[in-house]
Amino acid sequence: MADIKGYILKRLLLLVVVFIGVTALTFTLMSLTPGDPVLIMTGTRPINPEHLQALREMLGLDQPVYVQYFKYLWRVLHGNLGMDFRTGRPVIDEIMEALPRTLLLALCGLSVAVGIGISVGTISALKQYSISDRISMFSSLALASIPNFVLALTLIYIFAYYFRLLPVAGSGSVKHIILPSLALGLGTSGLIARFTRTSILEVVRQDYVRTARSKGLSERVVLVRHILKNALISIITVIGLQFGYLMSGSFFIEIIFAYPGIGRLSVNAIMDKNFTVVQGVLLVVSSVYVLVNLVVDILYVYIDPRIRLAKAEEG
Amino acid sequence: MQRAFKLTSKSELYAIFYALKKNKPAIISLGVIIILCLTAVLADFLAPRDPAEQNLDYRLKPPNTDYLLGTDELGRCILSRIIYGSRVSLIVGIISVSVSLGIGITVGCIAGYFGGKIGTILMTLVDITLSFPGLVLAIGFAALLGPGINNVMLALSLVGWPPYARVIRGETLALREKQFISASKAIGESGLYIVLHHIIPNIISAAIVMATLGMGWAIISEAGLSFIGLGIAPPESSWGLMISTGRLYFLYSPHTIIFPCLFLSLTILSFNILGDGLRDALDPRLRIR
Repeated sequence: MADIKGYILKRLLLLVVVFIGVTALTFTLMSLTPGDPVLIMTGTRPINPEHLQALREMLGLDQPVYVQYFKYLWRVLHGNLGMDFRTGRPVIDEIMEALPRTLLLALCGLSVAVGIGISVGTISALKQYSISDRISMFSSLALASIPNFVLALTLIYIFAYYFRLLPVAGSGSVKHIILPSLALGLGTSGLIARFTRTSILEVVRQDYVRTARSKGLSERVVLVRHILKNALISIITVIGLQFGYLMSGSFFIEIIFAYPGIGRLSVNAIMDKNFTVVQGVLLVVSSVYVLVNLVVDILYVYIDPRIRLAKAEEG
Repeated sequence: MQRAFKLTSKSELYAIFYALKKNKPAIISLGVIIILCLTAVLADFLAPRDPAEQNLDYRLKPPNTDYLLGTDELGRCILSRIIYGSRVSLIVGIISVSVSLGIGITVGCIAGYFGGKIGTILMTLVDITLSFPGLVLAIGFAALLGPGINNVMLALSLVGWPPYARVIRGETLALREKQFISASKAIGESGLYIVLHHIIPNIISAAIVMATLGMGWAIISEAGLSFIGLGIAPPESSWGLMISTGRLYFLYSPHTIIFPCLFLSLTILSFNILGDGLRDALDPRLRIR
């Protein structure tokens, strides 16, 4: 157990390195922004050069780049991501308002993806090479190949316009989140279905499944306790990785459904050339992504005894 | 089991072709991709009209004999814009995937074969870049660079190379321990010679599969960037841009987005099916089954 703690500690230390890398990359990205940030901030308003210089000094833009980076890192560590110069509010406040909505959307999308993906993948694997297997695997690949904004527009046309069952856009009720979640999750469900099928087909051929059947267990018990339980171990990693994909996907979905999440916040900021907000969003989204991956890795170690033992031997 | 012979041998190419030939969906997808390439190359001859030509008296018309796929909000021919859009999708896909693959092979081979401190630094860079969700990072790059086809290709290349580097490094590490590499070292061949003549030919199969699947990703990303206004700038034609502008009218004129959506999805699906088929064909373990 001590070795597992060592592994987690090592991962947390690596997280610090990755976090520094993430801040360095977002900082570099913004430093490379073409044009003078002060001029972008002030827009077309006529401002005398002395005021511009004063603003530049106030923002620390007159200092060497590495000093600017360390000051930026220091500010980030204190939860200060700068000010949104359009609204005059701290960027962190705006992100914290939008982030829970995006996380909710991503989680709903993930639930759709996992629910449909694992069910379809399991049925497909159990009826390998049947017509239903072929149709569901082709549909899965097709769903995974259709961009989520295309899926979103199709769903709007069918459910909001043609059948008038659900609202076209907005947020605030359960009805508002159904279509965005489906649009976000259906593509990923295709990937999870394909992966589930492969994973179950590998497990089905194992000796312990044959043993379980030969000792007279019902097919349902064999499926749930022996096949699915073992197949799910590797599926969890894919699900974790897909969470980041769903967060990226929400950028498009939020625009189409006018959903006030982090994606819409950042795309509006991009259009306004409001790079402080863009930088803040990049940093926060990447941090969430890194943390989710870390949690999945740690979870993986806990649920799979083989990996736990391997890590213990390594450690 | 790692293959220890060159992909370029005739028997190997024949085996891959034979395995691919048995996979009907992959062959159909290859056909679709070939037709798409021909369409992009021959766009000037195939397009019935100039894609930028506006006919304001003839806006948002459904498909008819004059305009086979109808017209958009400015009265432009949707078929012509789709034909020219295929050129953008393919150019962005081919160039960004080639650049990503080039950087990925270079970094992967250096980190995998030579290793050392440079290898560690390079792989740390790969890990950091991979810790960003790819599309979000591409949006960040594209936001800074501004719209335009060159900037889209640059943004996608900057984001696209780390997965290639990671896989190529893994393949290179496995190859480095093979006897034929030890033999090459023993007869005094230089590291660069070994990488160019022994490592790269043996990792090409993995690279081809990744590049084919990467084309799907690049095309979907270009469409996504154009969709949110960070990709191809008007009046140039791109499928993503067509969907983005068409969505404002699609409830009453669905043909404005149906056709670009169909072509976009069919293209990505074809690259994904072909990529899957190639992976099965190039993996000797699967081929035996």
